Amino acid sequence: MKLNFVVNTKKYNLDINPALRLLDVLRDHLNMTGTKEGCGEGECGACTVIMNGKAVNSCLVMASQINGKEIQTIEGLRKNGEMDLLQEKFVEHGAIQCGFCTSGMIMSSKALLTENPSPDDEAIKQGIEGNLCRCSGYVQILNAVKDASSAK
Amino acid sequence: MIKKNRYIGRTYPIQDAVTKACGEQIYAGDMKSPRMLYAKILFSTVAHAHIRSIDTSKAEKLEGVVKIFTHANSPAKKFNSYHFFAGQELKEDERLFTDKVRFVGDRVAGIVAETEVVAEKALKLIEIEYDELPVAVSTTQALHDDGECIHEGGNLIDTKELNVGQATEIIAKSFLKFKDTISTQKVHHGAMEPHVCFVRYEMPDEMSIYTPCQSAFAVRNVVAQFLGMNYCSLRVVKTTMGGSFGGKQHVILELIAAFLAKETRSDIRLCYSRTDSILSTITGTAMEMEMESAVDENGKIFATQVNAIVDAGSYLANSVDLSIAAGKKLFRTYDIPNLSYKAKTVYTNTPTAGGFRGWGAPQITTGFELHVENMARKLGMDSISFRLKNLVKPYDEERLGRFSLGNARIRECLTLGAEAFNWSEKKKKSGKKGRYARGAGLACGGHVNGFYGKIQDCSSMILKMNEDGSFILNTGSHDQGCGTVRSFMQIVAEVLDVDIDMVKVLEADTQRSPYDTGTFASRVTYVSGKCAYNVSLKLRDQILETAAKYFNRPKTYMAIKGGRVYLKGDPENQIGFGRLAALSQSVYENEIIALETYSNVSNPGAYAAHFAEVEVDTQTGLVRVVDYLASHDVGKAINRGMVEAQIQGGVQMGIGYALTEEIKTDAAGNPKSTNFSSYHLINAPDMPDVKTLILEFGGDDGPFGAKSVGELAIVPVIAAVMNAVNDALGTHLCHAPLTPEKIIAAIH
Amino acid sequence: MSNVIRPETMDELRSALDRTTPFSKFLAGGTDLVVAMRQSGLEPDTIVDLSGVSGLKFIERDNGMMRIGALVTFSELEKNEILRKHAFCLAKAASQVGSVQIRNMGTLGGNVAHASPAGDCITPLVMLGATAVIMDKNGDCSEKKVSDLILSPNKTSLTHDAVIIEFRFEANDAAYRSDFIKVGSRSTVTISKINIALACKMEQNLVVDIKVALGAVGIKPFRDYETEHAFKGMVPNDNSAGLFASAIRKRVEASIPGRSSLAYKRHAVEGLAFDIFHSVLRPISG
Repeated sequence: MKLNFVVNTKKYNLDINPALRLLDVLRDHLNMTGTKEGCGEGECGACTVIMNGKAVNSCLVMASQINGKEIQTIEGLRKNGEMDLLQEKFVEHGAIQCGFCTSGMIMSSKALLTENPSPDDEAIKQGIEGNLCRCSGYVQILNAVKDASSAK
Repeated sequence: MIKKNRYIGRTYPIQDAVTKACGEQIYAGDMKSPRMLYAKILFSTVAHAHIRSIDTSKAEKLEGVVKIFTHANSPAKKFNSYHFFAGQELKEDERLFTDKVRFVGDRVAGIVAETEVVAEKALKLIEIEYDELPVAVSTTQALHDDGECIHEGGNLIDTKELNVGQATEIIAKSFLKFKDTISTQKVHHGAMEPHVCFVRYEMPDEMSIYTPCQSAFAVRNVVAQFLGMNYCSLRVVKTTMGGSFGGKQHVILELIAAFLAKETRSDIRLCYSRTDSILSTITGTAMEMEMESAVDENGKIFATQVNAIVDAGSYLANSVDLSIAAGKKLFRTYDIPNLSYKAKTVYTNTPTAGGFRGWGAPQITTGFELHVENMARKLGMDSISFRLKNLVKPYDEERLGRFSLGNARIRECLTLGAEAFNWSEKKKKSGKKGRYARGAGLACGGHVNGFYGKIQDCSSMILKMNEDGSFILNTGSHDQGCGTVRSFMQIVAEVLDVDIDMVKVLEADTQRSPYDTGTFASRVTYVSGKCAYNVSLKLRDQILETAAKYFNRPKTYMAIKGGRVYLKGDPENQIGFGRLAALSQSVYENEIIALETYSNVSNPGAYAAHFAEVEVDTQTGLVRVVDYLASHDVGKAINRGMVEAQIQGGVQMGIGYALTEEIKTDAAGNPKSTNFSSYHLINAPDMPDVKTLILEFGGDDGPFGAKSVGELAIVPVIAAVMNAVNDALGTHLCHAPLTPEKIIAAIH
Repeated sequence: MSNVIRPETMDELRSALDRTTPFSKFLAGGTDLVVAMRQSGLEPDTIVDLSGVSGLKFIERDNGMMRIGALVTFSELEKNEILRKHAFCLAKAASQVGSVQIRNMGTLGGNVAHASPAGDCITPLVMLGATAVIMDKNGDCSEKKVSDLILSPNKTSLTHDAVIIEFRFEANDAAYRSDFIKVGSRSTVTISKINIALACKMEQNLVVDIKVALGAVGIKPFRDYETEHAFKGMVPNDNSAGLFASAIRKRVEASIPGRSSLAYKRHAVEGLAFDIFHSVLRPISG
């Protein structure tokens, strides 16, 4: 099926098996391996990307659904070689250990802060409730998101 | 004069934090090659059966399928996934692809195909007929006289005993004694990166395996031996680790993928799904423990006997070794003059048990801390006083192995932690108020620092200086995503007094790295870190030797500062490290390079006291952990922020272990937890703010006095939470996890 | 390989319905189907991707009748001011489905068509007496009560060539208050073990009308008419919440006798019932 979509501001017009998942389109067709597969059933959030402004699990989005949509992945956060403030804060606050949840965690946080620029602790926790981390206990992640928000 | 540390004790992000934040770090599952093929495994859907027939013909006809392997066309040779050092004696009971399935999730066939989609389709076209056998999902069933043998030789694999004094006899004669039966469940490591590996095949017969592992050397040894390859022709490279917690310590995918690569002479990527990772790799060992202790009226425990049953699951792997390791940990935290431990390791038709954070310590500590809490309660003593009567003191001797526990500061962990947690105040609030009940619980745990006293425990490292004054530390280490590399950078930078960015640390690559025993037994900071320290000292000495030639002065009259060597009394007379290196090459025809093989010399205890406050909804049985403090005797925190982060991660894992996580099977052996929707990890809303108290008393052999923390971080958590729940409800629940169903059943 | 059709207009949707067979599947949000396909190896002959059909995303109130397009997502339901005002229970239920990511994709139509006994949005719809507007391949529409549309776990009366396009329920009386509550294995991001939707109209201190539906305690969510009957016309006092909780408990015991989960659910439901009674009815004394 011919699909027109935008990833990280770049336009794509590709003929892809429409039954593939968006995750597969990103990782295999577009060679963007920053988005990870942790569970394949929308529970861990490692595959989170932003589609038309909303955080979604790319392992649950069928390729046909991305037609006409704008998608932002972790690779799209860096602008002109500069990290997004969220990325900087994740690094600064030690919110990254093994890094496997990081892409999804940052994208969920990005979607949250876009919609709610000054979230309180409860709102941040809710914003990342669909993102599991096994290394950290979420403490530094919360601090990073908080810091990125009040700094805005 | 005590020098103030420039790097040690500071907080740094993990060495590749920026790369990871940008989504650019490469994990094994991201690796590709132009001619690669994809492998998928077909797993058994029955728990115990002989394979009567297996028909792969339909699958083979599918376009894009390259080859399919089953027991019929793969070696019958057996292996043990837990093998990690040369000369290790282990019973080998596992085949690549089995002809007798022993649990739902056992490997039945391997498919190599041109795409993952084709491989997955082919899996469904394979037809298998099973001759089913009776299933034993519990150790009780497995040990029953009529229990069907899972392997030849019966379901009782081994019985191990550890003994100090005359515990059994003393308890039999004692008047004041207490008995508890505690159990912990089978759990999943839950690393966010599922199991994966990538193999490059190089004609005529060489291979490189890229894998997130805990010992590249173990992978090399097991694979090379199984396939009959020279170690020098099989390269194993440790890739960026997306979390392991023991789950990737065994050699499983690497062996299968290497076999498939060799047979098809192709590059192979083998990715396990989350379900595959939960069921078909290794799990955290379930244990049943019966503990009985005799105490005097002052609360001094003078004898304890423990009978344990270790559920190995379907294959031996490490279970007998773990049964011993768990028992040994009983001797580490409390000073009990008579202690006997007996453990039976048993096969069951359930997922295989293997390495898991703490290696028996979470289980045995949960058992003992619930037992201790029960004794304190029955004696009318408070939790802290009772423990203080029995905990080890600094430099006590570990009674079983007769070696020193080093500067053991569990008492301070307990008393200072209690104060920081406001323990007494919180205890006053214990009990039910209307629908909700509040409770506070604590637990003490101890862990090891390496294998000393057990098996070989050494690391080798090479440190060299480049011609610009930067350094390369070549190690056989495996950063698990916890900052090992960063901590080594700090150590080298501190000893050599150079900018931390001037230090590059290489991880395990069996063709290029010197040998390291691996990331096990909490040895990395204590042993490998000490190696890094020692090799840095050696290199510093070489730098001074070279400078001595340059200055034509004895070394004693020189000092090092900020990457330069200068003459004492004449600081303007100096030379930069880089120039020294260049001079060393051109003039002295010498390289500034040092090799150190460091062998562990001690095994002190690392200790922690954890405190949990919970609120239990007595109507729904849901437990909320509302406050948490972890008080750790770390010796010295090399990277302070990372130490805190590791502790908090351990608490996340432990809370799940205590309340929500379990790999369950039904009576027929069908798994009921197959993905995160049915195996619940603690998410951000349910995680309390974990406070840490880092106590640094030094006094042992680690670099700058550092001791371990990563495994210890989970050890006391389960019991702290369970003790808190029991405190809230006035119950004595002893079987983890404390699910809402169990809590409601106990209340009503 | 499945044939994927992606209609973008109602006309194209009709024509797509004509091409389906009993082995075809519909994709709305994807949060159920994509996982099911991978787990079971299900390969439908045709997948109709509904997510691009225009005209199926609306939340309106026409003459006191709430109309919700089948493709409205849980996030949209959660945040919609009209819905929060007139049927708070449904907005609340939507806010507690899965995680943020799931709520951004999952749809009301998908939730009903998937017919999980624990489907969080189904319980409020049943409580509200909502109907589903179903369109067939000829473009003909029929209306069926959601409680009749759902037959048993994961089974509805929808034929392969028909699709839900809209939901409707009466929302013409501002005096009604409603709420939704659930309990699962953990506090958030969890499948319901029990859920309750409750609506009540009070005049002075009298319960003029009360509607309650229970979910995840039977083959499908259902109205508890007995409890409604018992509480209609009562003047609530300090004991009422407890009585309500007992009544709900009895209903659950009657609904899943012999089920192993009953031992837990019979107690947990009392807590839920107590909470939701308090949030919807205003008790007499503080």
